[in-house]
Amino acid sequence: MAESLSKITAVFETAKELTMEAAASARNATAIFGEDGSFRPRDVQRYLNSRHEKEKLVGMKAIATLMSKGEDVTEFFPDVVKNSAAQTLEVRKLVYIYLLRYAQQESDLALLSINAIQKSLGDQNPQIRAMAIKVLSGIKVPSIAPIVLLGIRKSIVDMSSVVRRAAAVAIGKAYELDKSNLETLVGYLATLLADKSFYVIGSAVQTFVNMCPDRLDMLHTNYRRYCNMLADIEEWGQVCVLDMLTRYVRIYVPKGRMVKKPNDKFYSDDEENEKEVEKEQEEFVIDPDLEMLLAAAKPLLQSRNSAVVLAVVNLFNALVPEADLSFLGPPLVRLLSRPSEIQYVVLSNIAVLAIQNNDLFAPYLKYFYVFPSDTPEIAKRKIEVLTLSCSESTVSEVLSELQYYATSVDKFLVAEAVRAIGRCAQISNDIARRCLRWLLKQIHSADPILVGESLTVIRYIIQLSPKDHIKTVAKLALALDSATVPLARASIIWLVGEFAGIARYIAPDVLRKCAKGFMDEDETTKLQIVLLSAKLYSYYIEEKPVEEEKDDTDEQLEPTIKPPADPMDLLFDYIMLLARYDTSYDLRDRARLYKSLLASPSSAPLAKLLLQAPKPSPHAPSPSQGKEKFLIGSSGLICAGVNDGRPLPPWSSETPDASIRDEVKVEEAPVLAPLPKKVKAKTNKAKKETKKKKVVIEKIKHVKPKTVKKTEEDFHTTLDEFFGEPAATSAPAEEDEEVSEEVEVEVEEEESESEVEVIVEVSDSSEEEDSEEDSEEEISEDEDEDEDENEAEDGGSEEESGESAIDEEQSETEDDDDDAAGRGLLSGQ
Amino acid sequence: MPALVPLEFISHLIKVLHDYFQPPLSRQKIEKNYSTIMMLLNEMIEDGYPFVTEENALRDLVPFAGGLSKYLPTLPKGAANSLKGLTSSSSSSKSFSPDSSLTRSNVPWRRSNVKHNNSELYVDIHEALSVIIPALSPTQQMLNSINSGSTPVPSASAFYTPAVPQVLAEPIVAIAHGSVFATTKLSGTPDIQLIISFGNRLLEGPAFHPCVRLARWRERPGTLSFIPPDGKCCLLQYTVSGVESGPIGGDLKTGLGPMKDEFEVRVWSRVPRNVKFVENLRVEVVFDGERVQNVKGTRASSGEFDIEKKGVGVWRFPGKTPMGWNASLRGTMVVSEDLATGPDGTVPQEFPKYVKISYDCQGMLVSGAKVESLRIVSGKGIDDRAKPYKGVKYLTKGKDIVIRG
Repeated sequence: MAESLSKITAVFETAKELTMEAAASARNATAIFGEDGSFRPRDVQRYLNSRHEKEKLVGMKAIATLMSKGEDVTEFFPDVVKNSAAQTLEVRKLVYIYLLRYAQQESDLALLSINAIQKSLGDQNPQIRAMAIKVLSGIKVPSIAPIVLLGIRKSIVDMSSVVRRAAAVAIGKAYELDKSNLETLVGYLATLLADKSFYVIGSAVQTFVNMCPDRLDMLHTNYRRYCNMLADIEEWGQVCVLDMLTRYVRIYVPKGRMVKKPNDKFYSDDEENEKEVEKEQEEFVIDPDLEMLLAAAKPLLQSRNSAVVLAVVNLFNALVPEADLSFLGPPLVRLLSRPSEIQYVVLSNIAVLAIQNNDLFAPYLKYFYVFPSDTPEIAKRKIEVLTLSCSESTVSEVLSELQYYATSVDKFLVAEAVRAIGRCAQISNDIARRCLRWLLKQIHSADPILVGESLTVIRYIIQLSPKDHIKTVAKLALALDSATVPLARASIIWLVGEFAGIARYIAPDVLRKCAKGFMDEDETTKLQIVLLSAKLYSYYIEEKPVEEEKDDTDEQLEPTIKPPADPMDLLFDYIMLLARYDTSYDLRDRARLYKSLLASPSSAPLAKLLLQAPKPSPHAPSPSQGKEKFLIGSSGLICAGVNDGRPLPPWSSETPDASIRDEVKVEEAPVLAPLPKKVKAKTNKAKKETKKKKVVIEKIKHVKPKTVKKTEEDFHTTLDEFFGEPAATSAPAEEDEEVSEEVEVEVEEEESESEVEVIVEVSDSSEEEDSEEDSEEEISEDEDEDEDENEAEDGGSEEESGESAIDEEQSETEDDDDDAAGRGLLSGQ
Repeated sequence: MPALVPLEFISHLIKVLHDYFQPPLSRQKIEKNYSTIMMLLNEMIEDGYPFVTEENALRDLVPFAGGLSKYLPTLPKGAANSLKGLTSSSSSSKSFSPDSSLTRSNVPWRRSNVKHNNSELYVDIHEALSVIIPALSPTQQMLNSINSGSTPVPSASAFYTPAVPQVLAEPIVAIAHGSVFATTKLSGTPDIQLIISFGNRLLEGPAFHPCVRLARWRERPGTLSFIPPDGKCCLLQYTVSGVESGPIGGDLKTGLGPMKDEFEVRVWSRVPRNVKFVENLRVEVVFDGERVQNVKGTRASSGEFDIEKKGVGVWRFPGKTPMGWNASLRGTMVVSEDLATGPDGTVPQEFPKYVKISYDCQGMLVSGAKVESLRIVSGKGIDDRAKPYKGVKYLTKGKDIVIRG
C-alpha cells in the first residue's frame, strides 16, 4: 500500500515538474542536451550570448554539468566571461565558479572579467561583495595581485561580517598568489583577528594558521576575547581556534603546577573541584588566563562535531595533563555511535589517551566490547583499548571477553584477541598464570591461527621470566603428544629447544619421541626436529670436555642428562641420517650444515653462537604504542606517513607578564575609517563623494600592474600606521604625536587612498538596514556616530576633508592605545 | 588538518544533499543537479577548509532545487514574493531571493524570512539499541533443562510452547544511542521549549545542536530550549548504558535432540505498554562457514529460514509481528567431510556461533525517555491564532542484538 502511494506521488512529482518546465520554456534546456545527454557546443554558445537572463542560466547550467563530468570547457571562456556582470545572482555565481576553475589557463581572457568583479566589490548586496572578493582572490593570475590587495583592503573594513569573513579567506589566497606581500597581508589579518564578530574570527584564525602560524604574538590582546566568544564561533572555526590557543598557551602562559596549600581557585566545574579537594591537600594551581581558556573550552565537549570534541581533548591533554581529566571520557565514548570511519579515528585517539592514562576509560569498558558488525579496524582498536584500560579488578571480565573473541569465527579477531591476552598477562603474575593455562588449552584447537598466536604469546610469557616457567615447558612438551596442527608441533619443538638450557631434562625426551615419528611429520616440523637435535647436541658436546664450568649452575639437572652419554650421540646421528635421505633439499642442506658444524670440537664456540644465542623476546607492545608523539586528533595519528601538524611548542620557562593580554578596545578598530565620514556623507558631502567614487572606479578600471604597484606602495606606508597601530599596543603616547605630524604631511600624497575609503562609506550608508539587524552592532555604532559627529563639528573644516578624516583616524588609534581613557581630551588636541 | 575535519565535512555534505534533494540520493539525482551541487560545494569549502555548512545558511546562498524560482529568476520582487506565498505550503518550494542576505537573520542556523501556511512541530526520538547476551553458564543450562523437562519436541504444538525460558542470561552490554530530532515548519523565529525526562538515567556526554541553550540544560537537565533551524535538525545526541534489552528476547540452545546435534533458536516479544507490534523482525543465525556445509532439517514454527550467504542463515518475519508472541527454529548443522578430525578421530558437531536480532519498534524507547512538554514559548512573526500541529514519535531500533552461543 505504502509502496503504491509513493509511486503515485512520484508520478505527481514528475507531472508537476513537467508542467513547470513547460511553463518556463525549459524545452530549450532539454534540447541542448539532446536525447543521449550529449550537447551541441553551438547551442551552449547561443544560450550564453542570449539577452535573456534565463537563457544565460540554461547555458551556464550546461557548462556546470560539463565541468562536473570532468570535460574541458575552456572553449567557452570568452562567452562565459561576458556574463560576469550578469544580473541574476545564480548566473553570476556559476560564472565565478567557472572563472575560479579556468582563469589560470586563460589568464589574458580572465583579466577581462576583473573589471566587472571589481565593480561588484561596491555592490549593495553584501553577498555579492563577498562573492567578488572571493573570486578576485581565487583567480590565480599573478599580475592581479595588487588588485587583490586593494580589494582586501577595502573588504576588511566592510560593514557586513559576511564580507569580512570572505576577506579573511582571501588574505590567505592572496598570500599564496604573491608571497612577497606577507607583511601587508599580516597587517590586514591583524585587523580581522581583532574583529568583533565571531563570524569572522574562525576564518581569520584559519588563515592565520596557514599564513603566519608563528606570529602568535599577534594574539596577545585577542586571547581573552577569543576565550569569551569561543562558544559562538562556528564549529570549523572552533577547531582552528582551539588548536591555536593551545599553542599560544604553551608559549605565553605559565604552566600549571602543584602547590601544597589548598586553593579554591580550581579551573573546572564545582563537581570536579570538590573531588579534587577531597583527594589531596596538594592543589593544582594554574594561571587565571589558562583557567579562563579551560573553562571556555570544556562546554565544547558537547559539540555535535567530533572534530571539535577531539580538539578540546587535545587542548586539555596538552595543557593540563596533570589534572583530573575524567570528564573527557563520556564525550569520546558517545562518539562511538557515529559512522564507522569516525569511530575508527576516535578509537585510535582513545587508544593513545589510554596509553598515557589507564584510568581514563576504565569506567567505560563495556563500550569497547566488539560487536559482529564492527569492521576489523574498529575491532582491533576496541580490543586494544580494552587491554589498555583494564585493571586488576576488571581484568577477569576483560579476559573472558577476549577469550570469546579468540574462539570466534572471524580469523582477524582471533589473532588480535590472543595477542591482547598476552598483553593482559603483564598486569600481574596471577593473571599471567591464568592466561597461560588458557593458552595451553588452545594448542589442541583445530584453528591454526589460534594455535600459532597462542604459542607466540606463550613464548613471550615464558621469556618474561624463564626460570618460573620450567613447568610450562614441560606442559608444552606433553601437549606435543596430542597437538595435530603441523604449525603447532613445529612451534612447540622450537620452544622446547629454545629453553633446553633451563629445562634440560625435557628436551632430550622430546627429541626421542620425535625421532620415532620423524617420517610422518610435516616438513616444517621436521626442520624443527633437526634444529632441536643440533641444539641439544651443541649443549652436549660443550659439557663433555669441560665439566667444571657447568657444574655450579645446574647441579640438580645434571644427573638426568649426564650418566648415559651415548644416547645423545646416537640420537643425533640417527636424526642426521634420517634427514640426509629426506626428499626436501632444504632439510638435507641444513642437516649437512649442522653435522659439519658439530663434528669437530674446534667449531664448538661457533656452534654455540649459532644455536644457543638468546633470542630477543617477541616484543608485544600495544599497537598504538609510539603514537603518543602525535597530537590528539591529528592526521598523523591515523595514517602513517602523513605529517600534518607542527608539533606543539614546548612550555616556555619564562613567560611575559599577563598584562600583555589586557584587552584593547577593539570594537572601533574594524569600522574605524568609515564611521566618521558616514555622518558627513549624509549631511553635505554626498555629491562630492559620489564624484570621487567615479574617479576611483575609473582608476581601477584602467589599472595596469605598474600603476597599481605604486598605489600599493602607498598603502604600505599608510596602512602600517593605520592598521598596524592597534596591534602594536606598546607604543608610547609620544610616538603617536610624531606620527600624526607625519600623516599631515602625507595627506596630499594619499588622496587616492582616502578616495578608496569613500567608496566604502557610500555603500555603507546604503546599508543601514543591514546594520540594524545586528542589535549589538547598532548600539555601539550609535555611540560612535554621536561622538564622531561632535568631533567632526569641533575640528571639521569642510574643505580639508582628507585631513580631518586622518585627524580623526589618528585620534581613534590613540583611543585604542590608551584603552579608551579620555577620548574627549585627545580629540581636543 | 585534523583527521576528523574531512570526515565530518563529508557527513555534513551528505546532510546538505539530503536536505536539497531528499533521501535517498541516487546517481540520477546527482547528475540532474550538477550545477546546484557545484554551487553548494563552492560555498561549503573555501581555501580547502569547510566554510558554510549549515543547511539553513546554504538555503540563503544557493537556490533550492525544488523551487519555482529557478525558472523565474528575473521577476520583479513583488511577483516573486506572491509566488512564494503560493508555493510555501509545501516545504520543498522555498523561494530563493537574491537579496535575502541583506536581511540576514540574527540566528546563524536559521534561514531568513521563513514562512509557512501550516504550522507544524514534530519531535522524533530514535534510539539504536546494542545488546550482547552471553551464553548461558552450565549451571543455568542445567536449571533450565530441569525446569522445562527435556521435551522440546518440535511439532504443531511448538506454536504454543511457553517459549520463555526460566533462566535467562543477563546482557553483559546494553547500550542505547539516542538522537532527538525536531522537525519544525514554523514562520518567523519561534522559541521552543522541549522537556524530556530520562528518569534517573545518566546521559554519557550528550551533544547538542548549536541552537540549544546549554545554560538551561545545565540548570535543569532534560530541558531543551532553542530557536530551531527550519526543517529537520538533530537537537541532541546521547548515549545510555544498562538499558533494558528491548521488546524482543531470544535464546540459543545447542546439543538438543536424540543425537545431541540439534540447535534451537527462540525469539519472543515481550509485552510493553503502548506497543502493538514490531516491524522488520529479522534473525540472523551465524555459524562457521568454513566448516559447516549446510543446515538440514530446519523446522520453524513461523517465518522463513534460508541460508543467505556463507555462514549466515536468515530467519525472516515479514510485516508486523504482534506482541506477546513467540517462535522457534530447530535444525542441525551439516559439517563438511573433508575437515581435519579432532584428537579423538571424530569431527566435532558444529553449532551456531551467535544469533543476531534486528527490528524496528515504534512507540517506545528502551531508555525510558519521555517527552514531558513541548511548547512554543514565544516568537516573532508567528501567527498566534494558528495553533501549530504538534507531534511526538518514539522509535527503538534493535540494531545489534547479539545472543552468543
